[in-house]
Amino acid sequence: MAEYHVLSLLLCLPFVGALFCGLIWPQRNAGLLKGFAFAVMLLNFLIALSLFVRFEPKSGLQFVENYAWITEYGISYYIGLDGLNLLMVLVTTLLMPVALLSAWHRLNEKNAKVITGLLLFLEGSLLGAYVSLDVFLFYVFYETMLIPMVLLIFFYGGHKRAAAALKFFIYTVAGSLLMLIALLVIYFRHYSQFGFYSANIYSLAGVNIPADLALKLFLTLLLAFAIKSPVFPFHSWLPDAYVEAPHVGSIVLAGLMGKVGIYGLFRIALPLFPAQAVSIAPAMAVLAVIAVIYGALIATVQTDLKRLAAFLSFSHVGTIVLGVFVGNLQGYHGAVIQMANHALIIAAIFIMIGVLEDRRGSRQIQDFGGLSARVPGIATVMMIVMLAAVGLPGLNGFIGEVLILFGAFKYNLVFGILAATGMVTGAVCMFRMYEKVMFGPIGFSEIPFPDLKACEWLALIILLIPIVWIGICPGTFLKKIEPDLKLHLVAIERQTNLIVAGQAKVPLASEQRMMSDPVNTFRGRP
Amino acid sequence: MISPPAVNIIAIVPELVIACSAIVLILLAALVDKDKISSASGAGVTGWAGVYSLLVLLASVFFIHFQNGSISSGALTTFSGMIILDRFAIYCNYLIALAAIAVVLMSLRYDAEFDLKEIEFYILILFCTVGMMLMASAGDLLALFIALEIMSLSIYVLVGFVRAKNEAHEAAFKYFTLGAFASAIFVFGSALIYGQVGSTRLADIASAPCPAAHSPLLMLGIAMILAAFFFKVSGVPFHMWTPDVYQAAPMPITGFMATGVKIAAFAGLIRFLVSSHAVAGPGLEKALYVLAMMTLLLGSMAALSQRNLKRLLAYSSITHVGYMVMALLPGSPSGYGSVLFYLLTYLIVNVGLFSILICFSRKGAECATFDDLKGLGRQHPYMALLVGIFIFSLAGIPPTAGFMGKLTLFYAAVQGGYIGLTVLAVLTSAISLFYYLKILMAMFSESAEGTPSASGAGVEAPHTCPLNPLAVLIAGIAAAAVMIIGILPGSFINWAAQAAGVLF
Repeated sequence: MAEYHVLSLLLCLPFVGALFCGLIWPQRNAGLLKGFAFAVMLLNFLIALSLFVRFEPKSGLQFVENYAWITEYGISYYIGLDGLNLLMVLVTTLLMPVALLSAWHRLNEKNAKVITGLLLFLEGSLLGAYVSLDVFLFYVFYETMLIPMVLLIFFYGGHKRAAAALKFFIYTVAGSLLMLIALLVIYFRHYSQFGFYSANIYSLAGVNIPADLALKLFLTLLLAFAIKSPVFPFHSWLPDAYVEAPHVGSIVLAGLMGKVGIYGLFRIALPLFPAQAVSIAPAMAVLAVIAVIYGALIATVQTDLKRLAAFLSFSHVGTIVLGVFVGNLQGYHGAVIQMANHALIIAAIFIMIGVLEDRRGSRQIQDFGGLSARVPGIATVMMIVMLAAVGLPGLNGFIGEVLILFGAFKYNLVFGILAATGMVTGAVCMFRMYEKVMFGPIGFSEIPFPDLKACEWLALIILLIPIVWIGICPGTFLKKIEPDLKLHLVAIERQTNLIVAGQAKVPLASEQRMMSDPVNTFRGRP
Repeated sequence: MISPPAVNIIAIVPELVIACSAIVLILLAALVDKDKISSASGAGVTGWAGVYSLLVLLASVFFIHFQNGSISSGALTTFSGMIILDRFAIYCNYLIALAAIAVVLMSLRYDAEFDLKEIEFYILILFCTVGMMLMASAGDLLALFIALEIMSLSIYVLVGFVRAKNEAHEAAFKYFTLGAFASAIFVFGSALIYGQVGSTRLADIASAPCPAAHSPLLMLGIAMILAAFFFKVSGVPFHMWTPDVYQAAPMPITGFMATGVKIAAFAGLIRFLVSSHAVAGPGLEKALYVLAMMTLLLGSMAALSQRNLKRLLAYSSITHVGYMVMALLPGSPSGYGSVLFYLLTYLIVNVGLFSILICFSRKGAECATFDDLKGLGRQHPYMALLVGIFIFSLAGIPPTAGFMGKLTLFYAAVQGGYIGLTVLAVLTSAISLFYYLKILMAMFSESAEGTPSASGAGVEAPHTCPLNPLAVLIAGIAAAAVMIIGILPGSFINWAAQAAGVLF
């Protein structure tokens, strides 16, 4: 029985920790508080790791928990792990302690309580969004995570923090509330088709919706996820939010929150509307390629390191979205693994930028120069991270990008070439930035510029381990997720074929088991 | 010889208890020396009146609980159909009693600080509560009207209670004049309906024979009553009084209007709609559709530019009315149930928010503008946390009760097929984020008097004097309730759904 609730434990622990850190802990002891928060995060990572190790590489959900939550509406607390969310759960629990470590010396009596509380709150809601299999449960977590993020930006952000927080919040909520309506429409269609209320993803996937309405609903879902990810042209909140957020916020925002949008595409939008996804795929691929190239180009002309990283992240997210919509196994694989990769890499980049800004007191590229001689540690780590980001073989970026490119070439030669061009542009941009910051004349020898501190080393090394590991032996991770991805793709293709052939869709595979289980079906009120 | 109608007194026990106690309080007030009240010790007398009212209201909750047990199945119709005691009435009465208790608790310290030394303040609150409760259990247009008047007359006086304040007079007069019109329209509407149906009983209206149904005069009557209700719930275009009255009324009374009056008026409106939905046909839905649309748009747009918190909350309450009217549209049990559930969440949030504003109010100066909030977030981080919870709940962000309320409303509207209107509601709630977050942001903007210098003690802003403990207590309980309902809403939604279910 204890086995059974591990996933819930993983979910609850951060919330309990947040309550403890944010509310109950007495104001004074910042060191202990940080230590406590870190211990909670570490414990959560160990739980996630144990789940990862015990996760059997076979198709289907594991560690499933399913209880009625709002019985009146047939909404359930339905969570589980499969190949789609396994990696992100692991990466989330890994990134959170790293983010805390990277901000370790910035936390003091004044802000430690609020920041640790908000970070734990964020972790809990992120994990919740990743493991939920009930669309309304997913939605609750999907929006809940905005609260801590908006507060982080608002309390500890830069000069224009209030405007950035508002813009980010309103933009995202507008998208996600529209999604809520779309989900409600699908949910009622499900009721009229099957005669019982259910909101889990597998049964909703069996709903047959007339093509024109389905397209509208799909576009609504797409809009919400495109804003969150963000996909071109819904990215206008991104530079403000990423730049104004405190570093620890940027790490989570770029590394984990954006991924929820892409994950939503995988988990909800594609299975629910497979045929629409296929028909809209060319358009999305075009937008993704535009994001890849446009993001890289804009990043090239930035003078502010954080802005540069923000647009680079935007460009990389474009790559992942391309992988989602090319509609073949390579693209899928690439996208899922690249989600994790990008989270690790962009987190490392933002940590490095934080390190640089702490020491120099500025983020402008022209304020730096000649650092490689003075701080070899920073220069080395930054080089590795950068190489991972541009996709050097042997580091994690390579695996994801190559798989996505394979998928893109298989899908359409032009998209493949354009995406590859964009990636190269991104690489050029990063190397130019590296050159200006690390080499050249030493511009500010009067300012002391210490190398990495212990906690920063620790944070970066924790990140570098998986970066190298995934690069050298991706099989550890790919093996675990492969059967599920295959099944997912096959199921979606089957549904698409059914629709093309003019037949009715059927609930997805996992649902067959669900329907026979009396606990999970709710007889709705007439 | 007409035999007196069968009366079952159980149906109105809580109302009776409150009304009798209020009358006793009036008599006691006559015994107290008026000069003494205006002197320093007067505050003590008024305080005792407050405690007395609190006990009476708590007793009424007990009686409602007792009623709840006694009508385990079905409804109790008595006073020849004037009063219907069913799960719906009991649900609303619980909410109203809760609102009244919260308001009395809020007032206990507030009255001393704002020179509201008359005992009548509490007497009026009690009578107002009686009117509200009767409204929720009225089964006849006349009973509805009487309840409405008991409630309204008390509220008119309460709004203008601070005699020294000119704007309070103006607001009370405005509210009274317009309210009198609304009442007249209500009576006129009832007369028209009586002319067509031959009865003012809600049940009779529902089962009006075919020729009466859809007749223009009946429609006119229904429209008039609808207009009167829209005046009471402050729906556009009958909302004009709301911002002025909210602004000028004493803070606890503003809170009472945002909670109790809304609940009672919606309870009456729902009872009326249930009975008239069938006879009015599609015209009613069209009218409600347009009203909901206007209410949503105007409420959210007008709130954007407000600098005064009470005015902002007035406009925001108009937007919330828009959401609720949207869910009334389908006329389905789930629609009414969702409105009832939403009223519960809205009640808790408003009680919390207004008690926090009372906390921050200082002798003679209400905390009513954004400037008054400046710097409070850093001084009182825990209060800021509470404000945050209430704000996110009003904005409808999970995991708060406000989100669950909104989810149920959207649920009902989408179920009824009003997707376009729901999209509009969603967009207005995205707009509303802007002004809600502005409240939170104001709390964390720098203090107007400048940050305390490093010279040591004694430079703290005047706000550091102790907060009103009762109001803090209410706010804390409300915040906990908001989170609990937000995370485990199931049983509350069920309760509301059952309450709405008995209407059909």
